[in-house]
Amino acid sequence: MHINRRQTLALLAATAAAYSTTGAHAEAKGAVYFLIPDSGSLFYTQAGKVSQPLLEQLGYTLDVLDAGNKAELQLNQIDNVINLAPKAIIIAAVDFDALVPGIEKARAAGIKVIAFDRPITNTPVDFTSIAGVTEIGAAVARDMAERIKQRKGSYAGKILQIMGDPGDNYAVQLAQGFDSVIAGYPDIEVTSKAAQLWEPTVAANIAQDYLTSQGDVDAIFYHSGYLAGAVVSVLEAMGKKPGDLIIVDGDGDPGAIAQIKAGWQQASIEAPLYAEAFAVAAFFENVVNGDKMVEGNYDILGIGSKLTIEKWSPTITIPGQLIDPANVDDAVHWGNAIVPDLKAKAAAELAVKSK
Amino acid sequence: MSLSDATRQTEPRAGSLRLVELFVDNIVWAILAITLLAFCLFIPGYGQTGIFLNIVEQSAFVGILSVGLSIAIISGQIDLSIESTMALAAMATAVLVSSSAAGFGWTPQPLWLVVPGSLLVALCVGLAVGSFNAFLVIRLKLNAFIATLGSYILFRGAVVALSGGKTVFGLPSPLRAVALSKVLGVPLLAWVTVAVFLAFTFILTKTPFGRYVYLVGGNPVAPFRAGIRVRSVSAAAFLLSAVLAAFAGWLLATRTSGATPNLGIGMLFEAFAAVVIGGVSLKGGEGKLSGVVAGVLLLSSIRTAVNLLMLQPHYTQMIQGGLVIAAMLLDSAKHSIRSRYL
Amino acid sequence: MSSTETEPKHGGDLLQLENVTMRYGAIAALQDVSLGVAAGEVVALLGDNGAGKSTAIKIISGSVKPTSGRLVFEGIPREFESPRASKELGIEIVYQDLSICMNVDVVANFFMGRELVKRVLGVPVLREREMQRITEKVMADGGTKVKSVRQNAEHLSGGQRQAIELNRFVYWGGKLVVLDEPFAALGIEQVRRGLENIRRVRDQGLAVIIVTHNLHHAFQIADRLVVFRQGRLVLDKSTSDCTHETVSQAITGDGPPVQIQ
Repeated sequence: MHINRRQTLALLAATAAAYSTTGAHAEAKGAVYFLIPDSGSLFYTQAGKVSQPLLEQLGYTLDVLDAGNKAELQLNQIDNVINLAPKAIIIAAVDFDALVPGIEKARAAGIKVIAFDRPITNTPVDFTSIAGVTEIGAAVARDMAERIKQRKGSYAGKILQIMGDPGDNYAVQLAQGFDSVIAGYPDIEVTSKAAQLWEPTVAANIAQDYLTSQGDVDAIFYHSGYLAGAVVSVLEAMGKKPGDLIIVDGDGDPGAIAQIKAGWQQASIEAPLYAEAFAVAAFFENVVNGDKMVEGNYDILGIGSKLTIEKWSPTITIPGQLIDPANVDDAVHWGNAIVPDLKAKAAAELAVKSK
Repeated sequence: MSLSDATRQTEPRAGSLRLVELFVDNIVWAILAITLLAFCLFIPGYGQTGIFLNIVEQSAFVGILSVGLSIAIISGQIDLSIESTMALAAMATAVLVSSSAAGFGWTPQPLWLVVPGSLLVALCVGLAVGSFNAFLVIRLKLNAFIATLGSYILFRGAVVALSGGKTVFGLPSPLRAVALSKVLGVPLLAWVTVAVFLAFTFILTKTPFGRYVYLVGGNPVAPFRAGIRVRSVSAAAFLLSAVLAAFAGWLLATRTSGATPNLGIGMLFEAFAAVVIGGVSLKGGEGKLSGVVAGVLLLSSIRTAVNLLMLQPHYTQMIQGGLVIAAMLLDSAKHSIRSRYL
Repeated sequence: MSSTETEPKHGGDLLQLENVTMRYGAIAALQDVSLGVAAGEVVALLGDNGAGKSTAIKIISGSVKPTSGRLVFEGIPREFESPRASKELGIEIVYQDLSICMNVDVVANFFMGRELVKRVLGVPVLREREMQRITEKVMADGGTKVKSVRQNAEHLSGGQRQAIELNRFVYWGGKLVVLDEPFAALGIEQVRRGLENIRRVRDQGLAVIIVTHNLHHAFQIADRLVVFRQGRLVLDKSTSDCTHETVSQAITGDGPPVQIQ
């Protein structure tokens, strides 16, 4: 997820240097490498920060490698890491098609491969932990419909959907989930526009032009809180006040959290980043041991999640979580950039159950 | 000495050719007028003052970038780094004053000082980047295309580094007021854009410096032999394009109420398109800001049309790309008309 | 030097090269050359490629300093540090189109680097009307017709461009102009006008040196012919005292050694 927004940052070879932190456990059970697409993204840097203590509690070392959003660099990283004979590599792929040869080589060398946040579906891997993006879109649609009903007395109104980059899988899935649910409300009219490359100015222009020509918009759904500041600024310039419009986003970026606090945004359905990382820790020993996974429902950090056996790997899909004014300050939201104190012991208990 | 026979023959046609040339030179305005008329007729909700104001207001950033880029290109150089310079200035502004976790949250007393203070910081960013580019190209004699491409990548990287990959938001209200204010019912941003275009049209057409920009872009040997400090003129062109980009960045920060690591991405190509559509020759020494204004407005009005229509945004890109190619064709047509008849 | 037919000894009084030698390492580009140019005189420098003409021009323009010998301008020995120094004294070197910007109009070319400005609130502003008036007058006085001085130089003929350079030189108080191959790439009619322009400059009492390969042009315009061969000045005579034969023999070194007594 978040592919293109971060892909656009691929130009910054200058900052592409990997940051790495090696665990102090000399008696470690082995090394694990976490290949993130881009350290220019808070989402993946937080993923690294939260995964490291979890895996250390399990007795492994974790190093984070940043691909600077370059698929070929990430492939090189896999090749290099194979030589270090780690127990496993966790990959949030820049472009999973490009990684296939590396993944096959790693698995042939007995290294477990875990897909993180971005599913790898064209070659078998050992485990996948992802957010249910389509489900997040659907949740946004249900949430917005209810708010419209609450405000206007019926499921009737106009929504402006400001999508992320139209080439980004995250935006596409979010829109799919949203559109399919909102289609069930015939009196809610949706206009969808895409902010290419997730560029906030583009989003602001869309909102401004649309509101100028259509005065009676009830709600705005922008795909990422990344776009929030720019859009809200334009609304303010047009004389709107916090609460005049229903505004929801679909990833829980810090920008969204700020607007919830400011009263402009009522809610966010966030990508459950910490739960995704927690799930990796929970099933890590199973993955390393090659245990057979059991399909079913699991409680990941209090979130009801589903484990399914897909043709590429066992996959845990964690639904997005609602952020609203009541819980906006909780550490569990990655957008707050707090590394929560997650206990691997609790994770390990989950793993026992899965046997 | 009398006119030669050849001259005499073309003389009667010269008047009408001058008209043709005038038309060809200003064709982008004609295209803009026709385009706007068509949009007003066929797109519901387009033909209203609010939309026209949006077009001008939204033109601010690409517009100001285009002014700087035009100066660089007319002077015979090129500056690909403007987009990153803009983003860096925006990010510097945001980081300086933002109340969010990524910002320093500078709150001077009285608070309105954040406006000149952050503007000064942004313009200094521009000066620094401009000096860097000028040093690479003029002192080290690197190819301007490659050197500023390097700057483009380098300074975008600096934007990301400065932000730590986070959105930086929460600007103090005096700064936000820059983007929120209206004067006589017209957004301040629109006024600023108009002022920048007028000021630089004046500089390019009425001052010795403007004259030197054209001379240096046309044939640097001649002004050098005439005692004009050619290297200083080129350096000034780089400084101006960077400082203007930084100014656009400062405005952009006020408009988006902060900055993101990818802020303004893609605007370089829009500015390029506007400059070329506006009739600035990439060979240097040729072009007028009046044409560039029309180019900027044309792109902005098309973007707005796509925003109002149920069109996918790639159509914006396809239309804009097509316009660039058309502008290049027009440019070469113009030259062949001239060389044949004038 | 008895080996050269020289009359008078050092020619005119505006510019004098006295026993100038220029060596580049072991190679002598100029050997013991003495040459003078007077105000109101057109001197043609002739010679094959590598004969020393360009070296002589470089010394006059201040691009290089002679190894030995000296340059006297207006009666004062000079050591030019740069082309700018010679230019400030009124010496102008005109290379084909090098001093013209095709992309701006006649006025802008005419006033290049010497724009007239007025201050408006401290900002220098071009005085376009005044510059246009002067350009029109000078061009008309110089007998050069252009359709409009607001026309870009690219639309002018080669001869008209040369006229701009010459008029510019005259107007800004130039004293000696060196024209390097002024008629290369010009048509017959344009050469005729170019020759006329040069004559007009001379008639205003200014000195002209033209460097050319074309004997025919040299005979048409020059008051004096100077021939270089292999770094030496081998002929320096009034045009009226020369024939095509003697000059071309001096250039090539063939035939009877007329210059050696």
